[in-house]
Amino acid sequence: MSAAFKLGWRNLWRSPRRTAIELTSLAGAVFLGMTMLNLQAGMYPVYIREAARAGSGHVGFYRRGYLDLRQVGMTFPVQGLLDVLAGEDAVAGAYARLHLPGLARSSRDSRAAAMIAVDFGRETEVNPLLQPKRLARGRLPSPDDPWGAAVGIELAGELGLKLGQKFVWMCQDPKGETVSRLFRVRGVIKSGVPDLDKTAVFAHRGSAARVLGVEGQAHEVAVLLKDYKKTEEFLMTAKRLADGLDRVEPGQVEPVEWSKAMPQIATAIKLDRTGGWVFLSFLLLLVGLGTANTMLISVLERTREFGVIRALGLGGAGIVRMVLAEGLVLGLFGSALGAAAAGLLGLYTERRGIDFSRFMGEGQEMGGIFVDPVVYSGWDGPKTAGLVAIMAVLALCASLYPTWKAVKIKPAQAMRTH
Amino acid sequence: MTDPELSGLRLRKIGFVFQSYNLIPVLSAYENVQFILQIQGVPDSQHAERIRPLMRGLGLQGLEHRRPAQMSGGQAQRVAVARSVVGSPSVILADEPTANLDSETARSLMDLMRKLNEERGATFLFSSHDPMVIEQALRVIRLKDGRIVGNEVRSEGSGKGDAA
Repeated sequence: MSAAFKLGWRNLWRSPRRTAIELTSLAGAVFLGMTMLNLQAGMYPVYIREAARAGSGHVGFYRRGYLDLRQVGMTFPVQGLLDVLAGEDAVAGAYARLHLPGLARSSRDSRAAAMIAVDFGRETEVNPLLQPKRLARGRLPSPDDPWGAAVGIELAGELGLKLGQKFVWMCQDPKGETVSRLFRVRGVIKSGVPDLDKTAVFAHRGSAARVLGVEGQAHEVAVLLKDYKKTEEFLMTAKRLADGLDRVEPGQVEPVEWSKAMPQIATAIKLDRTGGWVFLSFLLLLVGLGTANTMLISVLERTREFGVIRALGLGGAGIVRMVLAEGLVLGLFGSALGAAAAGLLGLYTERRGIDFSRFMGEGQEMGGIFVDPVVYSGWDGPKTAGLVAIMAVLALCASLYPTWKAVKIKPAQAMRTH
Repeated sequence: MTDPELSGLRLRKIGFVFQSYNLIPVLSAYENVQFILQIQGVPDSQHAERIRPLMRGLGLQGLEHRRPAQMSGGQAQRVAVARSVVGSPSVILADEPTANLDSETARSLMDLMRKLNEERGATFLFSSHDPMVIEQALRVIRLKDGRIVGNEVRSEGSGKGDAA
């Protein structure tokens, strides 16, 4: 086989320009594909991390059925759970939240809104929506300000709310009674996610629980893991913890992994990944056709030479090895070039990132999460190896028809051609 | 015969020398000769000991690494002869082997072939218009318009094989 490879390699350089063009297209496809995979490998974990921090965590605890029904009364006592989670090695943090749909009314107008009641002291450590850079004006409510709130920038605008002004929050309590309470605007949040900016009201969990009459309870306990890839593994532990909760019947509180608690995130990633593969498939198809064309021209140009080689005694199997080796050498060399170029870019973008702010401004919403415009790449070894293998197989497949043409060459006929 | 059988026959029993050499342009002189041994499946360890003496005998020492485009017609044809005999075939078919050579090179090539005939017992079967080639043959079959018009045996071969 080494002789076939040697011949394949040298044959490629008979027409350096043609080979260079073909190698460029193969290397370009691998470069684009690998860069895309590297960016996905860097982007998706960040995206999942941000979504988990702002949403359900990597694993969220809910009263059974809450995610489907979203009823205000579906709370559960959380302190015991928070205490045991604090002792779990795999857990980076656990955050209890109340979610209250209701009405925000100012002196000017009223709007449907969604209150997210959190423990500010802990949430500000991780929740991307509550970071200082997301505060358009003011500050987050302090612990000694139980009725302070931070509202979405569009909601504040529609209600004509300024810092320090009051608004009334109205919602239903677990018994179906309408309850209301006066809150004061301490901060205005610009999350970059239109839905949140239009509806979100962040308040102290303790205060919201008091309004509802569910002190010490929450709708959600979002658990962030040290390694999100161990989510499946942690679910078993989480189920055991949920079943062991005081004042809750076993099975009443269930742990749910992020992809089920936030299906829009999982779907957005899936769509993005699928779109990437569709793009890559078209690219590979075009490159495959180009390679087949190059190989066919190369074989047809050497009809006489194949005749001579066959006359010398090389059988059909030998011709197959020889032409396929050319395709394989082309595919492997092109892949190596593309992988090397993508690797160099990956090293750069892993440290410095690629700034897409020219195309997407300060960032873009994706599946309800604000995505930073600077994207850092990661490394996806198995997928990259798979891409290189696909390229080698593609080059081999593209060589099949030219190989068949070469095998069909009759020595006596071929040697009459010039 | 099936295609693999025909290939096998050509590979092991027949050597070819073409009018226009037909060396593989991307291989060196040595590799062109080696190509036959590779497809015959001769172990790599035996290649040098079979090729080098042969190339030396054909006056190709020092040209081993040259590509066909870097050789003269006579040199290329000698490489073609080396390629044709290296696999120890029973018969070598030589199609106008001197047609593209000047007379001195052609005579030198014929001497080489005669030497190989005598030393290796390889039978050379020429098709040629060249009187110098015909003059050296031990048996001459004349063709005219596709028909045999003469069959002349000039003398017994002094070597192990015949030239016709």
